[in-house]
Amino acid sequence: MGNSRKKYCVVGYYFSPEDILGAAEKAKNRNFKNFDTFTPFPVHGIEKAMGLKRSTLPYISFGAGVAGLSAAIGLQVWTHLFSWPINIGGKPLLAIPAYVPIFFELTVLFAGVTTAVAMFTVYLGLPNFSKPIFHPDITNDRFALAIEVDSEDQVEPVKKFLREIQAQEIHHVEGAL
Amino acid sequence: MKSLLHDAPLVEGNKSYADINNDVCRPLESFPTKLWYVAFLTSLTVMTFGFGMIGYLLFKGTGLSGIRSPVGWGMMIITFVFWIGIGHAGTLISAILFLFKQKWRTAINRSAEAMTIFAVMCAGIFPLIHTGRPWYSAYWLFPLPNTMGPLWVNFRSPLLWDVFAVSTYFTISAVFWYTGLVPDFASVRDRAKNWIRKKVYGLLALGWRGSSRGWSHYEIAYMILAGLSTPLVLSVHTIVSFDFAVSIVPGWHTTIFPPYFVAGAIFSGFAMVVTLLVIAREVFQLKEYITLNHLEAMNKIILATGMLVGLAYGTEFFIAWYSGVEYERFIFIQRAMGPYAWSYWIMIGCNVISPQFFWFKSLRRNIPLMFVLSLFVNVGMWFERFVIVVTSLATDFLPSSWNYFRLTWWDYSTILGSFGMFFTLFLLFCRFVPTIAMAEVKSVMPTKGSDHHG
Repeated sequence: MGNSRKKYCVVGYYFSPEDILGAAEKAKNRNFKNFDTFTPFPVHGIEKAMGLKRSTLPYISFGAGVAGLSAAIGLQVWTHLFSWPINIGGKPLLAIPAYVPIFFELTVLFAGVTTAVAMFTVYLGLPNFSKPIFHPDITNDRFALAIEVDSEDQVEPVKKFLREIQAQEIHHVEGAL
Repeated sequence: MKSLLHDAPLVEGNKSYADINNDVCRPLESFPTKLWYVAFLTSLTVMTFGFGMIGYLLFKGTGLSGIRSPVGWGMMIITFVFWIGIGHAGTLISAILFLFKQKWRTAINRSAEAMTIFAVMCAGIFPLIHTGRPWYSAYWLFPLPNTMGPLWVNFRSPLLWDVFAVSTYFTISAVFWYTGLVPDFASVRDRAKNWIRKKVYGLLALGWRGSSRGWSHYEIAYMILAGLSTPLVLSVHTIVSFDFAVSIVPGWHTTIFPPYFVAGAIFSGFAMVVTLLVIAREVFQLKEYITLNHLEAMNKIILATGMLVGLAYGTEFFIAWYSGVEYERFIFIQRAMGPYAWSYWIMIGCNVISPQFFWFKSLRRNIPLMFVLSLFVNVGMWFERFVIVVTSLATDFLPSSWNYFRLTWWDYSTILGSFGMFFTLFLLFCRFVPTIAMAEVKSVMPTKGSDHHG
């Protein structure tokens, strides 16, 4: 990473969810290559304002659920029919109704754990302790709009844009978003 | 669906976003009060005592407990079902009320989920003690490969379904809880002045920054977890009831058991939430967040589920008579008028009669009364399981083996120990974890515009 490719983030702060919604919309319309908003809680409508696509996470959850169900079928059928076929109280070896509770439980177990783990690791890239935290109050009562730029001379025009869209405080930091 | 709290403000006292962080994080950042120390040391002592008793009980053998033929299940299974039931309210609040968009849940979901996890941990102890040799239980309970030839658990047994249901329930509840906690851990990290706190909560927060791209995935994941937890919580007590209903013992072999157990579980769980929150909002000064309106809404649920449980008691009796099965009729007459009639009437008094006070608005909002009634409900629900387990087993098919079941000193001390463990864990939770989901409360507050600057 050469010095010439150094990236900067220009950050503007707002103090209400309505203001950040408006700012996000304007930032989207300016077609910045990479920008994001940072909020203390999920602000409704911000995905639309920022032009974000709906998460593909449900497909992962569904796949994991199918894997869980297959594991449950495999485990029970293999155990009772092949590994250890034993007659207990005359119950049939392939007793599908008796297998149903564990079908359900393993489906939920696989889907639930995978959803949470995939969301944090694959989708959010966590754990990651090296990304910049622009302001400690972002997890308290501040709403930030951060715009990434490729070189130092682009910082001032973006700051001007943030002033135009009424950011209450503006600063910039070195590093990618 | 209409909210149980339609016109009342969810947070009282005209709070700003920053006030929420200050109020919720205060117990984490200040030196614990004397009251907390007294409560914690008492619970810790009771827990240590209980574990000592369990150790001795396992050393000498489970015969020290009251289990005798024909009542082989005794206190351990009664208390297991009791604790699993307590857990259900947490998942109901965090998942089912979330799907029904009941916004008032945000103030209480964190502590109710914590209660779920701790209650399931307490429950898990009892079947392990009941095996008598818990060090073998790994391959008795789970399909673990072992060197004893092909030797596997029996997947056709309801007891094994129970193992899967309870362990899945515990895992998913813990995952759901932690997912909800990550943004709040980040809040604690960002306001921490002391570097140890910054490091520890920083690790727990995984580097969360509150990015909207992140939130959009996070919200979907939260919804999926809620959607998965909803059938899961209903399945857990259903499967616990299968332990009884799949057998052919009179009084157990009934199809009403799954819904009846689930209603009872929610009933007892909400009572425990009321017990804990009445204390916690007082001790940790959270009255503006956990408001009287929240407590009233929970009391409404206690009333509704209490009536459902009462309906189930009545239906059982009716079906016992209507079925014409003489064993079934006999066992129900034994329950109400036999040697254990005292326990049956404790159950009816606590579970069916005591919640009736909640028909009146003034009584639903009376804190001392709801505290006492919530304790009654908890006692009543323990006795419900006592009635089910003991009356059916003590007078089984063979009159020559009938026996009167008595709890022993060891039974009492084990139950006491599990309460010590529950309260120890809950007090640690109140001290080290944000007890109110800060991010979620902020998202249901009315916004105040940009009149204040950080």
